Amino acid sequence: MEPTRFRSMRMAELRSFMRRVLAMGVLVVIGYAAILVAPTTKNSYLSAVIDKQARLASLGSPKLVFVGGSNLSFALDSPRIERELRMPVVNMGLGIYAGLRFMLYSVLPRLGPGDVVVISPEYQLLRGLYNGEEELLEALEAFPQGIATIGSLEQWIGVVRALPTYVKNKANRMLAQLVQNPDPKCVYCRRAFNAYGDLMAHAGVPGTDVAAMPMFRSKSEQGPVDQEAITGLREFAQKAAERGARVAILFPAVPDSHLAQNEEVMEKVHQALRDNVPATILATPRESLMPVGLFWDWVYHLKMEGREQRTTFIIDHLRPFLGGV
Amino acid sequence: MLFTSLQFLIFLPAAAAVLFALPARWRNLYLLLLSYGFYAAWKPAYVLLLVLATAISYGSAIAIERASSPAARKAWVTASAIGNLGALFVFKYFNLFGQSGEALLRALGVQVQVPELSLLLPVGISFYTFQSLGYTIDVYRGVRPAERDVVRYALFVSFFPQILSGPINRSTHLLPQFLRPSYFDSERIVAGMQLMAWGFFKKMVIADRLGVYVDQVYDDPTGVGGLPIFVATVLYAFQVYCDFSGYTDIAIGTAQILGYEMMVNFRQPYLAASTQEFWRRWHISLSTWFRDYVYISLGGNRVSAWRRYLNLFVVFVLSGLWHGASWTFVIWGALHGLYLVVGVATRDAREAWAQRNGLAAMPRLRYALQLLITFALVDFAWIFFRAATFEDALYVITHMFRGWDLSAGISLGLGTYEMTLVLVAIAILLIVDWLQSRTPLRPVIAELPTWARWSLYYGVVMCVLLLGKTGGGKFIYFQF
Repeated sequence: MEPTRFRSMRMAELRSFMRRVLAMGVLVVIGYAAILVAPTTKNSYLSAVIDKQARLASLGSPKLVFVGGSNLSFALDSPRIERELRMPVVNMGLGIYAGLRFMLYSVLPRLGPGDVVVISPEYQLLRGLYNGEEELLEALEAFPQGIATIGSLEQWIGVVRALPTYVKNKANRMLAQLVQNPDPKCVYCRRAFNAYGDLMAHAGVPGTDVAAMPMFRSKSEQGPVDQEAITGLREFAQKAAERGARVAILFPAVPDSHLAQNEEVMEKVHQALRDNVPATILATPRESLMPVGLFWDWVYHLKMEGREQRTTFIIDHLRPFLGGV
Repeated sequence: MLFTSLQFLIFLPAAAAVLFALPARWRNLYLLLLSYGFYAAWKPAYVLLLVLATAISYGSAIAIERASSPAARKAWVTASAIGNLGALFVFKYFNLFGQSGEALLRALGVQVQVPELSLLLPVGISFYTFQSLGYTIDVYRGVRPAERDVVRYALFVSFFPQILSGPINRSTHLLPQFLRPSYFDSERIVAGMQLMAWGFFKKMVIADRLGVYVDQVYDDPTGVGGLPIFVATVLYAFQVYCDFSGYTDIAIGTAQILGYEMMVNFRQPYLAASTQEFWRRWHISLSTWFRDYVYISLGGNRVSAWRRYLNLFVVFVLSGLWHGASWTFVIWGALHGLYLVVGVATRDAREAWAQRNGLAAMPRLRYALQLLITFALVDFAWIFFRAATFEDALYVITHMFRGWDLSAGISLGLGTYEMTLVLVAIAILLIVDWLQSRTPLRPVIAELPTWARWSLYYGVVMCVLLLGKTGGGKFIYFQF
């Protein structure tokens, strides 16, 4: 066969092959899109954002809003705080991987005059998790209005990059529901929370030894203090003030066993917040240490006994801020 | 660069596109550079070892061909073997033999101190050493002439789809393929992609998922009950099969996309009716290597029965040692050697027993029994292959049938969903293997209507993408 004819046949074959590869690629994208938009039962841990947002929307001002990651889920006895400080309380604490931006800006539209926002950011939220990771998409699935919190091109890029993992996890969650009965004692589930947003289901469930656990689990949690997060917090405090709300910062409780290894990081975060964010810091990181035996399954997750002690601590530190209620 | 990484999925099409665009005379050099780059991505310094192994076998093969006397030819092939196996010994076996020798001498009252080398085992060294050694022996035996084109020969040793874990190709099979240029052929490429997809399924959906469970048990067998130990031992048989045959499918598929055909390495091993048959179906490129270059050199079948049994046993002990520098691997190999010797020695007696008891008249039942017994024997040997130490292996053997607590649950590290998923995947694997054993599936798939074929492709691709474990471990055979 003459070379030119041979080459043109190969080119035609190549074009046909490329069309087939492209078609498969399109089918895969369609499959992913179908999973992305498929309705789910919204029973997951992060789906609790629905209930928390509903409570937040139902409360008028003034109210006490706790904002942060899962340290808050495990740290508060909200009914007691509400009783003792005589202010309606909502605990918005959920999961750190949804990112601090989502936590802050999904609350902002609901703030009004006299409201008090207590931000309790886990240290990693100020070291690389400001924009969140794949869990942000899971939170947005439950609370689509949260899309408005995505504030930068960089965060959009992060969301798009997290999409395949999110779709994969969602598909597995959906399949798991087909073969697995819901665990009535599930701790990391939507129904694990009480009406205030406090996680209650771990009461009486044996925990794990926290002493040897690292405070920072992945690389993305170990960067320097994130200036974008500091700026975001500052702007949030200013916008909250414009709405007549006041902002305080409360470092999460961490085990005393972890101080030596992490004190430098904790202090750097403390300094950055103290110097740059117009908000009252209720207690230093050192003051927020608690005995390691009070933690349940991670360095931020308290047992019920720890929760009670922490609640007392929070009430004691909030009372003067609120004007000695 | 792992085959299951995103980098590889970008690397391969780019590599293939450039290959097909290049003039034919540059392709071998291009593939060689690509292969060295691929290997250097693991640890650049070890490229030097690869170059050394290539130079030794390349030079000695030419010297063998030029040698004027049989003694000189023998001297060159011996020199080549010593050179190639010497590097393998230093990097892989020095510490094992050093420490074992030291312990033995100490037991005999002799105090010696053998230094311990802290060398990282170069990935793929056992594979490319055997491939280049096989080539030298081929030249020595006059099976093929010495290769003069250094680029072509270096490519034969380092060809990136096979360098990390085989298949261990024969010079007579692979080297001639580098003489002819490969062209873009969509049918061949689709076949390669099919094989790769099936390999990804086996590795990512089954092996890496099973690894979670098996590792939990075997990392500390004393921490779990008898039932999880038993389950992990059964599941490990599937993990190692899916891991290694998955790797092999990806390697063969990759080579096929580039236009080259690799040796078959697996043929539904767990459908074997005897351990002898198992070794005709498992890691075929290695078992035939030992047959061709060791067993036959020891006299093959042309010796007395007892000598034959000894040869068989020795070959399997060596095969065990090839796998890893640990006595557990030697025991694994010895067990298989023992199975084979006993199997061959008792063949007639077993046949007579089957005739007497009417089992021979029920071929399906007989096959099912043989299959189960073979699996049990192979799986028992896997305990030594997987256990970190001899003591762990003994613990597993002595405790796996003790204290079964059904209420404690068996889903270590895998929830009900993951366990269900992996069991369904294993069932699919066994059905595909069974169908493949009856008839090659590729022509059947090619005959399917377009919608059915595409549905099948789409199903496998989505399974791998959505159900495959990402960031899973390296391939088990990389350690060898």
